[in-house]
Amino acid sequence: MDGPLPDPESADRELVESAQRGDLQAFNALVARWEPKVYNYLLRCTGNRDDALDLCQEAFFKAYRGLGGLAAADRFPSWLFRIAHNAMVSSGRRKRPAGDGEGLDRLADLASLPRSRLGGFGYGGAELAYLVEQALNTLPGPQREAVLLKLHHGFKFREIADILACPISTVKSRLYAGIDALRELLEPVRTRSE
Amino acid sequence: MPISRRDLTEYLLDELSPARRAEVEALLEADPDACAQLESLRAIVGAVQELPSERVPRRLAFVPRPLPTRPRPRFSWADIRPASARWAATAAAVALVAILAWASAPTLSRQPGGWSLSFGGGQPAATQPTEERLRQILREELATRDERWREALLEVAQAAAGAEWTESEFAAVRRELEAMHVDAVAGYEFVNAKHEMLRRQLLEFDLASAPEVRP
Repeated sequence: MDGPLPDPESADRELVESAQRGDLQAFNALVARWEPKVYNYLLRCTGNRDDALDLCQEAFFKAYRGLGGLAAADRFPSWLFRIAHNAMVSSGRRKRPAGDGEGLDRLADLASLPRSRLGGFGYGGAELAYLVEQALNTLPGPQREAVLLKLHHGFKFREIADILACPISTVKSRLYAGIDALRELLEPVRTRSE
Repeated sequence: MPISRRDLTEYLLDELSPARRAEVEALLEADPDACAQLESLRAIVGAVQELPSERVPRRLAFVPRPLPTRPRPRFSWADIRPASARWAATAAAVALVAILAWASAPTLSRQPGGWSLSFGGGQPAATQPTEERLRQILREELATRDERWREALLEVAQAAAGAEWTESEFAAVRRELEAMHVDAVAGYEFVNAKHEMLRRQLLEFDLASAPEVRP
């Protein structure tokens, strides 16, 4: 028996510590675990696959070089996302929010899609995902990032504050503004589907 | 204390203190409107939580790249016998003179006052590629490469021009790129490493003077 698998946080911590001792395969394991998350975060923030891939790889190279300076191994996820966020901001490749007209028109179109009565919105998985992505695209960048980091990636408020280099109060105000805007856009669709 | 929508959001996100959480739960038991609001928020939060992730087009992996080394036989004076040592020393001296003579490019010429022996009179060694030669190399390389590969090569070329690399240095980098390209993952690792390494040079490099590329 190999015993129970370590929880993800412990596994990350062990991998970070091994990588800090020079174990390249440990760092590759960290890349394998976190690359999809960082890539998808950057993809939703930039709206461009090439930019997301470039920035993602840049982030991991910076992480590789700077890993020795990471004092607390259990802070690796937020530290990595901060590197990715900084790379995106400094490159100027953050996506602008879609114009209200365009975003709302698309949502209106989506509201007329046939409903499969699945999920809280009465839409199928792919339809709902598209709907939410379009709604996210209408948010200003800082709100979109706060929403994604909190709701999709599950970071704590203090971790998001570290990633975005802003006070927790700012994180909360961006998050609530973002959720309110999403709710305003998506709630009519949800109630009509019930 | 009244319960706000923010409280409900933080309740959903598990960010409330235990005391506040208990207060919110008590309200939810007694207030159907608050329950409806919570369900509305839960739908939004759940929809964002469950957004599907897109597959990374090209995965990254770091590979160890030890420098190619060839073990050299260890030289020991004890291995040389006295007679052969003399021959070896003579041969080395002759070779050294020949090399110096060749390298110093002596020129014997007749001057008005007599004969003159001068050194270093030959053409200077062509250590820098001309711009035209650099363009030719690039054209050949870029013609068969994908976009990302072109960008990497262009950066290398720009850095080479900016840093005044010799043609052989540029060719060495090109061969290294070529070798790394065999393994796509390692290739991207290299390209990114190269990108980072050259960034500082590129910042100082005048792009306007970069070789024009026409794949």
